[in-house]
Formats: sequence, C-alpha cells, structure tokens
Amino acid sequence: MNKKLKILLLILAAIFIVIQIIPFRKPSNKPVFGNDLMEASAIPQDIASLLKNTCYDCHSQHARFPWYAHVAPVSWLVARDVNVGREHLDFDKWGSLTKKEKLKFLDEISEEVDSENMPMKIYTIMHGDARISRAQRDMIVQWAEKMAEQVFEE
Amino acid sequence: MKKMNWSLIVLLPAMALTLILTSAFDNQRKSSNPEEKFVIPEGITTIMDKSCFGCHNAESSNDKAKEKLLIDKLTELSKAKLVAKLDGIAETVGKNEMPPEKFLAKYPDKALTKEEAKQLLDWAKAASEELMK
Repeated sequence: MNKKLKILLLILAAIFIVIQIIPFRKPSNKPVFGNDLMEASAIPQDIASLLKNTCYDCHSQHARFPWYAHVAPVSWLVARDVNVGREHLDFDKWGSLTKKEKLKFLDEISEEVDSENMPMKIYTIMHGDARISRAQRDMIVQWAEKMAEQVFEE
Repeated sequence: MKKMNWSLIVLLPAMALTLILTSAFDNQRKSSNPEEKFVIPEGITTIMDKSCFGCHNAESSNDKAKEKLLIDKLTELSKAKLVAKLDGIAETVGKNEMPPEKFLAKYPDKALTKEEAKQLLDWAKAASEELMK
C-alpha cells in the first residue's frame, strides 16, 4: 500500500478513537409512568404506532438508540436532535400539561407533520419505518384536530 | 279535484311562509349570540396589518409564516385551534421573536413598538382566556 495513504488512514483512525472520549450531553430516557400521551389518553392503535415510529425517538422518554447512536461523531448529532426535540415537544410530558399547553402541543403536531417539516429528512434516511405517506400525514393531522376538540371540551 | 287544488293554494304559501319565518328567526338568534363569532378588535387589526399581516396571510410567499399563522383565516378556525394560535401569538410576541430581526433590518418601520407589543400580548392572552371559559 502507498505509504502516504497508510499514514492518512492511521491519522483518521486516531482521530476516530480520540473523539470517542470527548464528553457531550448524552440524552437518556427518564419516563414518568402515566405521563406519556399513550398512557394518559386513549389513542387509536394505528395513530399510536405511527407516532411511536415517526416521533418518539426524539420527542419522548421512550427513545430507541441504535448502536451507531453511541459512536461519535454520529452520537453528537443524535444527542443534539434528541435534546432539542424534547425541548420543543415531549410526548412524555403530556400528562403534566395544562389544557392550553395541550392545545398548543396538538397544533404544533399538525403543523409540523402537515408541512412535512417533521420527521426530519436526516432521520428518515436511517429509519425506514419513519418514512410516512401523505395519507398517513393526513391521518395524524386529523387525529390531532379531533384530539384538540376533545381536550377543548374537557 | 277542485277542492284539493284550493287547499294546495292555501297550504303551499303557508308552508313557505313558515319556512322563511323560522329560518329568519334562526339567523337572528345566531347573529345575536356574541360567542358565535370571533372578532379581532380594530386596534389589534391595525397593529397586525403593520407588523404581521405581510407574511402571515393566505397569499403570502413565505411558506413558514403561512404554516404557523394565517391572520386572514383566524376567524374560520375551531375554538380549540384558535386558542393554540392565540397562545402562539402571545408566546412569540412576548419573547420578542416576531417580527424576525432579519426582516426588521430591511423594514425597520414594521417593528412593534413596546406599547403595540403589549397591546397585542394582552389581547391574545385575554382572547384565549375568553375562549377557554
């Protein structure tokens, strides 16, 4: 093998090993039982599985972390997306939200899903089950609006 | 045969009249109920026309602004949605996030004055509370 290429590969390998020990805010799951939307409210089965597959990895305390989510630099990206995602909207906070906050929460869901801002493209590349059709988007939007009416009437 | 024709002549207009009258009363009842329609006060419309409407309208070319809020469609929303939108207005205005800085750099005269921001915030909060009653 070409000597220069060998050195380059060695340097890259060294960088890869060194970046594994750089500390960062690693997200962990801290669910409070009964607080999650699925536990606190009756959600139709098809909607529940849609939300779990497309939203819960970043917007809940029930995130599934694949092996590569623990390897830098991907782990940094995952950590950032999950931390920011939970700040914006966390399905595990549902039970502790006020009525108004719930309405905002549901409005946010229909907006982001309808406009196809969510789920993020970078996420669906690696998660085939999060790639949803227009019809599935409409299902989520319709559910969110119905749920909002229900919350409003409560 | 003749008798029937005569009764029809009387009955039909009478039925028509009843229909017209009941629907008229119905309309009156609806329009006299102040809770039925969401109205934006004039002072608030003036502020929003200046600082918000340019992007937040159905014909806007700013897609993100359109997704978030359509001021000209507010009155068509369900109460549940309206509460969410009003809270959104209160939040963004309260945090001084809207109008965006980049936009204001170009159009400084579109900025909300402190007084306008307060009026908008107070209105959004009060209107959402009113809907939640």
